[in-house]
Amino acid sequence: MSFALGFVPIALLLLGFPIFLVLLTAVTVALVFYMNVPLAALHQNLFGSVNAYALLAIPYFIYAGELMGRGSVAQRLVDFVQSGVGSLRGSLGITTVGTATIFGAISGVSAAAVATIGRVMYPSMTKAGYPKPFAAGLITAVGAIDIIIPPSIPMIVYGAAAQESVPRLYAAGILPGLLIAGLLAGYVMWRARRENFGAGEPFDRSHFFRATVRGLWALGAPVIILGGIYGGVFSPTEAAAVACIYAILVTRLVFRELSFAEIIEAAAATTRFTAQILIIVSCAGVFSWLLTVNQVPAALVSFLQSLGVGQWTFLLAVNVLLLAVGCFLDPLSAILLLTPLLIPVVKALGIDTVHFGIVVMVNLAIGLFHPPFGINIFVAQSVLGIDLKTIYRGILPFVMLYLIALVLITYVPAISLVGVWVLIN
Amino acid sequence: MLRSIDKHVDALATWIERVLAVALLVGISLNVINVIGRYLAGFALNGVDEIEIYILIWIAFLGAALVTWRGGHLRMDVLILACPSSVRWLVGWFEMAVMLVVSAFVAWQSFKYVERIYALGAVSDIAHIPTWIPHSAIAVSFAAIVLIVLLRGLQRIAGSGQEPADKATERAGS
Repeated sequence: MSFALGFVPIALLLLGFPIFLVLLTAVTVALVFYMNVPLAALHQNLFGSVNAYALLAIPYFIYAGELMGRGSVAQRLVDFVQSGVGSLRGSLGITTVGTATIFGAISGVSAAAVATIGRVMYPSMTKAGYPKPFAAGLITAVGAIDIIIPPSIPMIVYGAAAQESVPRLYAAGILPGLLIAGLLAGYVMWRARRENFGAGEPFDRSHFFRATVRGLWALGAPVIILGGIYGGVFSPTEAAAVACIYAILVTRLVFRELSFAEIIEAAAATTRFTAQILIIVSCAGVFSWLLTVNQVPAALVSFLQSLGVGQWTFLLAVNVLLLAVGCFLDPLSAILLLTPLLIPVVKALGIDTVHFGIVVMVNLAIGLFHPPFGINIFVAQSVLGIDLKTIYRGILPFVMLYLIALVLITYVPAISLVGVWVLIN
Repeated sequence: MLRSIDKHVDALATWIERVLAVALLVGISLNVINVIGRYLAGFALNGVDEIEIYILIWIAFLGAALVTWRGGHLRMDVLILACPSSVRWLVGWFEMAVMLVVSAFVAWQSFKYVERIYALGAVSDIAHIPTWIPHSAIAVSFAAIVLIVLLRGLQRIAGSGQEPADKATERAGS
């Protein structure tokens, strides 16, 4: 059995097979050669894994973000944040961080944030004299906040894999997301003051008022999503659906930027992305079922208990593992592959699964822009035309900042759980 | 001949994508109608949740077949891209063979399952939709994947196909 559930998936993963095929091959080998269960279980588990109302939030949130990212929403958010930042040193950098954080509360897809905000902010920052590696590093790193700030697609997937409530995860992601944004903004100010670049324009009340009015429709999306969920008005899936209709109305009727053909095209792009994710969710569901019936997680728990591993040691080991995995694997696949194995151990050690979910998100967020293979690096390279050397030179301080945040979030559970206590409990 | 088939399948794939896109919009609309109905008119459309989930299931599986056609599945291809082209060529064939066998196996198992629930006449709890409709998404999609792999295989033999890893390189650069 260890051949089917251990060797086969690892070998095929390394050979670069599609993740869904890696899982499905392992499952097929296990069912055909090693197990004596009705083969109908394969279909039942494939179907059952995506037969879940909570998963509807995935395409709905992706679609809302897809629509809002196609028009002038990013520019409006940038204008709003920048007008509020005023003359602070590094104002454009702080604007980038602030806009990415707000955009994260609309989209939840990290690469979209890098591309959308990068297109607006990278030329502005370099024109204003920001060092190119610094601007490139900031743009590449800042998009990773989007998978920590709700609504986050990886959090929905983690929720499904760990059987944890999505509203609780979303509530737990708010403060860690803001903590990272704060660290990034602080670093931008420190660098700008030390190297004397990025002087902002003085705060102008009438400009701020105009920018706020222009940005109101864009700011409405996070208000609907988060206000709706935590006001008890909508479930996360309903909030996502309402955000989609809101995005259609705003981009089509208010901003008059998207045609009906573009609205359909955005929906088609959403179905492609959704299928990429959900086929893995489905296959991971069968794989996870096989792990459970073969008592692999239970054996792992016993093994770790025999070693006397405590919470802190386990979390440290998980951080190292996830940082390594995150360098090579996209967050969704990593969550689906590892969560079924790790969650029983997490529960056995008495770690809160919501807190653990946020630790997973921060680790995988780092993987999104960690050299050499973080996907956001290639998005920045392709969309903004920045060479890899410049990005690599600029990214390292931001990796360090995220690692500081990771240590804090890992070992101070209250940073994650305070959102749950305040908004849910 | 193969190029002509390729063009026709591509057009079919684009058409199916549009259908799935419209289905997604229908699902979103039904959800919002229910929310509005609940708060403003005190009604709820029965079975809407089931319809939305069944749309999602078709998007997931049929969409996966489309993603296979477009060569867009998520994969960890860092190592294989660093290998010489002869190794990539070999691994590409191996991947196709595995995909063919596994997809055919899943399609067959799924078809047998759908056949059984069709014979039983099972319907969903609230919307009373025959359950063979959502369940057949798996059989149809994996059968489509089998056909796609066969076509890609023929294209590679004819010298007009690409290795999966090369497709991934293209995506990264686009």
